[in-house]
Amino acid sequence: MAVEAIFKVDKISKRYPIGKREIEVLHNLELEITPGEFVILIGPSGCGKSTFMYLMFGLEPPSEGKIYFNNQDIFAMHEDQRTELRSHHIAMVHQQPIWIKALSVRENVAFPLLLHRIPKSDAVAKADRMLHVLNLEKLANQHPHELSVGEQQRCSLMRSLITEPEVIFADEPTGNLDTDSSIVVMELLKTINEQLGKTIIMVTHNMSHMPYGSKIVSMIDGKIVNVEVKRPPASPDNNKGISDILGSWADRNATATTKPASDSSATGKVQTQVKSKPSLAQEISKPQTKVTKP
Amino acid sequence: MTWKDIISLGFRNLTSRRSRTLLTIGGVAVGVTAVIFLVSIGYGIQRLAIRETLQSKSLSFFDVKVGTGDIGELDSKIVNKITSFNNVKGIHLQLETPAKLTLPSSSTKADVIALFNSTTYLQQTDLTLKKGRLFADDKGELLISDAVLTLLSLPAEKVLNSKITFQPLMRGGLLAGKPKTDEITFTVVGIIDDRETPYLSAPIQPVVDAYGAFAFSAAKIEVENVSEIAQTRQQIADLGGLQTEYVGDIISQLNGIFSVVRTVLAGFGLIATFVAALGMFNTLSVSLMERTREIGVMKTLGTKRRDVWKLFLVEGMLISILGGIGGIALGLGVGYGLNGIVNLIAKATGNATTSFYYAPPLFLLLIIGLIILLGALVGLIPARRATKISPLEALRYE
Ligand SMILES: Nc1ncnc2c1ncn2[C@@H]1O[C@H](COP(=O)(O)OP(=O)(O)O)[C@@H](O)[C@H]1O
Ligand SMILES: [Mg+2]
Repeated sequence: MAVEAIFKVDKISKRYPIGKREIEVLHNLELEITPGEFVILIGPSGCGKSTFMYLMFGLEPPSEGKIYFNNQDIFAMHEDQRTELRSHHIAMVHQQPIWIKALSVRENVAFPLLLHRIPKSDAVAKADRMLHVLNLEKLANQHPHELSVGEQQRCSLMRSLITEPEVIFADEPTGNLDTDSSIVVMELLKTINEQLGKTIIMVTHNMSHMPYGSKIVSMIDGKIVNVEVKRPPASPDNNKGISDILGSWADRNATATTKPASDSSATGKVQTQVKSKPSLAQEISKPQTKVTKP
Repeated sequence: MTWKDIISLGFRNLTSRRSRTLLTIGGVAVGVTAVIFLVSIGYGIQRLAIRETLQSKSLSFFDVKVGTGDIGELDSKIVNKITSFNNVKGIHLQLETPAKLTLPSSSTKADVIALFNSTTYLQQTDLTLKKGRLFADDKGELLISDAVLTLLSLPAEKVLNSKITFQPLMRGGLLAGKPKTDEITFTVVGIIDDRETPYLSAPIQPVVDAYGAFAFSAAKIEVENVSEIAQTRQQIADLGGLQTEYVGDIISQLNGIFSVVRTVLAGFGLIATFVAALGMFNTLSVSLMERTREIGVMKTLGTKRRDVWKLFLVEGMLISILGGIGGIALGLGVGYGLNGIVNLIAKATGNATTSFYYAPPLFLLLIIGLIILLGALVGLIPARRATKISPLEALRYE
């Protein structure tokens, strides 16, 4: 049975004008991504990985070719429809998390739900539950910039996950992290992929992250030079809610990082608070109240 | 996003850069204070001038005067004609003659001018009493001016409430027929505050009854409908030889002058407000530049362009509204405060208190409206720029 591609990239090229000349950043790319895949884009710096990702994210049209999300040409859509797409179906995590500076961690994580016109109290409550399962609730009232980069990156993943999108893009999410924090974030992405069945499209330089990918796409000079499928896509564990899964992730991660001397401040927090909260799992899996107005 | 969420986020953005926001709001407040303060002084002085002009006079009255030369005459025929005009509610006459005045208690005499009219007539003049009260039309009472006291060399207390005898002297045919009595005796009930002209003022009816009268020197016409006063004046002018004067003309002139004065004063204040608006524009632009990545990420999170636009507009309007409220409070506080202090000093030094500061509610409403509009206008350009931020460039921009 052929699975419908969630993303289909059809012979796209991207050129930028430099003065009077043009440089081609992406050349005739073709790629299909099926739901549940963990795609890793790898290649030397400047080869066009971020540009490719931003194009798929609908931020800028390709110079040639088409990009389909669930069989819909995303650049044939109206701008507002692409905004809706980003608001409901896809999300992005950056190398350096970017925050709304005036808001607390909790409010930042809750922000995407405000775009769905969900009452702020409900949005904040959901953000709190998500922070709680990662043992980050103590940081909820803080200013995002007071957090360590590892903590920020985990909060940023919670922000991208709060709208329960189908695809999560991550542009070098571990690029600024130390090894331990990187492992925490990669494990979190793995859980999101394997147990929630979310499609992950991630850019990385780090060869040690390769085992996490189910499909490795290698790029050089704006071209895809190799696509290696390592295993079939994940299918979501339908019996569990987000919180169950993230809760069990936190448990596993706590024991996994209890190794001595490897404690970064980020992972340290995870292990010390784990025992106090599994009972919350059921509560969080309550369905989200969507009050999207037309 | 709901408006509530946008406003709350805008507010948070402003409070997270507190000192800059406060400075900008302060700038707007100073501009608004200047406008409110200066214009309200304009209004206050205008109100004073109009009160001074009107005093107890009503705008439903105008004066008819006999023109110079022999052409015009205000005789009973003309009076009857005027009374029959549509818009005329009443006619109040004045007769002016020289008179001889005697104070029987001390048998001192003086030559004065006698003005025979009525309570209603007097109420429509600038006359101010120094002592006592206005006469009643039918009680045998009269008023004399301060200057008469000087002629009689008597203090007010000696004359007030005592009897005075006077004899109007015939002149130019103003009084008709032979007098039935030579002299009339009335009680002095008030002293008119006028040290220059020695005159008495007494009810006209007893004089007309005693001497008969076929022509008068002046009249005050009361109209039914103030808006048709111009037509009524024209009707009277058309009779020939009669001139009309209307306090409303002076008021209109005053209003004209003061609207110019106010415009000039508002101009000074507007310069301050304009500088404040530039400050606002600067603050919003800097805040836009600082938040380029933030706006970029808001867009990648799925924020609509429209909502980003609204956010900047709301931030501009919040600054202007807060500045406006501050400016109005400060403008009113400073103005009325200053007025209060001046009045305290006036009281202490035995002078009359005045209110030279007046901020009409409609003017304040207008200012509030303009200030909100200003915020929106100033916010418009950064708001537009914010919607144009390409999330891609914002994310690449370090
Ligand atoms: N707006 C742009 N104008 C011109 N060149 C650009 C623009 N954006 C990206 N590039 C160029 O495209 C190439 C690929 O960039 P990028 O996608 O960021 O690479 P990577 O993420 O693989 O490091 C780089 O050489 C970069 O300089
Ligand atoms: Mg990159």
